[in-house]
Amino acid sequence: MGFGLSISPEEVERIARLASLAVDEASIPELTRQIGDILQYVAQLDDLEPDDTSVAFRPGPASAPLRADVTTPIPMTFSPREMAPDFELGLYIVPRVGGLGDDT
Amino acid sequence: MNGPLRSADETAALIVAVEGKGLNATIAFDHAVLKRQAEEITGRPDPTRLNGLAIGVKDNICTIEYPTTCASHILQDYRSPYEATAVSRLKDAGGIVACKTNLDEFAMGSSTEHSAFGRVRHPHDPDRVPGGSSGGSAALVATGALRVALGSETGGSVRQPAAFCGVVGIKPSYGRVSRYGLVAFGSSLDQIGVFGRTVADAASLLEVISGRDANDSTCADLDQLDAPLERQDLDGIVIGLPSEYFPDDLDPGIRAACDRAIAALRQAGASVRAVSLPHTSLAVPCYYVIAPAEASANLARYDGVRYGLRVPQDDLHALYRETRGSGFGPEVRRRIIVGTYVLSSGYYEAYYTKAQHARGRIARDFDDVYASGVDLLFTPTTPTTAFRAGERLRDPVAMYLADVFVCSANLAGIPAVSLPIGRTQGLPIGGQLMAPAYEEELLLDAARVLEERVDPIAEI
Repeated sequence: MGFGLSISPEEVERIARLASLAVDEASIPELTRQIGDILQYVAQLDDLEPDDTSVAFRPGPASAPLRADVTTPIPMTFSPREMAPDFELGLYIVPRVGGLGDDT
Repeated sequence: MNGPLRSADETAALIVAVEGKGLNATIAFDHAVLKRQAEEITGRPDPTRLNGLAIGVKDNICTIEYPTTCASHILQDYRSPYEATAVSRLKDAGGIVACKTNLDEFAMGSSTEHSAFGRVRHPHDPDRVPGGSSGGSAALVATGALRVALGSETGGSVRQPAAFCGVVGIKPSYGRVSRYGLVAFGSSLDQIGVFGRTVADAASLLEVISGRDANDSTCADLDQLDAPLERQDLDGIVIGLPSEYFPDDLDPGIRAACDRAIAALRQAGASVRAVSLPHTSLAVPCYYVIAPAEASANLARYDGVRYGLRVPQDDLHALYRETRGSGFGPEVRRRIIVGTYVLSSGYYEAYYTKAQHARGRIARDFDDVYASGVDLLFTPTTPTTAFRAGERLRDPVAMYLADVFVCSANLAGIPAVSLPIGRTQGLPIGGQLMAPAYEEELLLDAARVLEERVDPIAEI
């Protein structure tokens, strides 16, 4: 796979499923056009030929400082219970997992 | 911080006045909260560095005083249980969180039109955009309601709105300011930045919030920045003009303002010479692979389980999908899909790996120029002045190109500042200085020298 391939509405729907993102069916054509424009634009990167000095770059400190391997609670002004949509007995409550195969 | 400070009541009255005119720059503001903080500062036994200064805080930076919404429906009522290190530091120094400012949702945008709470108006022309994503902070400082504000940068989101609104905007080196409490968008790019009406005001705020932080392993092990701004001239300083930032089709007004600023730099004693950053054209495409890729991972946490919006469903996966589909706006959804796509099997090498290589080349271009004896770079901040609202909403690529002169600094992790250098047709123009990583002291010195020698509101 490489650059320059147009993206199809079906591919946009597949990627949206991978991202756990419901997308309104009516918006798919416009979304497909916009994603296609973006991918076509970033395809300029294909002009770059990797060479020996072509390495990934990350800014910031060369290495992360290490801390003692102990649990340190972060002081919070209120508990997770007050932020959670549904929380009981120290657990986040969610609906059952159903139709697992449909989402993978 | 020089100059008289306003009382909490005066600041509140100014914010209410500009918001009453439809600026829409704030997401949360409460006169009582502002006043309570001011009373606490007054009650301190010793004078404080910021001495009760009211500061706007972009609403993707966690605060205790106000909710932190990221201008998103998915975090509409979210209150953070902790505050950002930058906020703690400005409060310790006697600053007051005046309000939370409007932004493009999750800082994704260049116009502050992508907010769940409505677009921010340009302070000089309500039909235009203030830039973005920190448009609320820039607009409030431009109106004079606030002297300073915090913003954040992932790809130019402080400098671009600073240029559009005619104020000073500083993007520090990656690692200069702790990201703890800054809601993550693109973790290898994000930095908290500052706005001010002058270089000195903005620099003072940056000094206060900078320095090492045990809560952020990507924060550099450096003391607090000390930028006394004592330089009176630029004798011995070499300033490079990268040819790629002055294309033939550059807006004539912006070119003329830059020419005037370059003459001022020479008059101040700087040696100015042409340079090249040959991979500049790859910066925006590189950014729009890396930033969405990181965003798609960072925003996976918003799933309706632990906090934020939940759209109830009978099945867990449906709950994830419907919550995220309803909670995120169109630009965020687009970027999550692009980010997921470029990281997916079969496309990772073609897009993400290429973008990482391009990032390496872009960073190396800067290294090479600075190693050749150039101390600073000067460029326009934006290719155009503030554009009309709605003009680029349906064309994401056109919107992304507003960042063409600013996003390289984020990719390379270097510091940069935008300051007003004139106006064309009544609209502000920004000039940008860029420095090697962790050279903020020289950068801000030069910005202040230039500021003193260029009329920021003179029409071209």
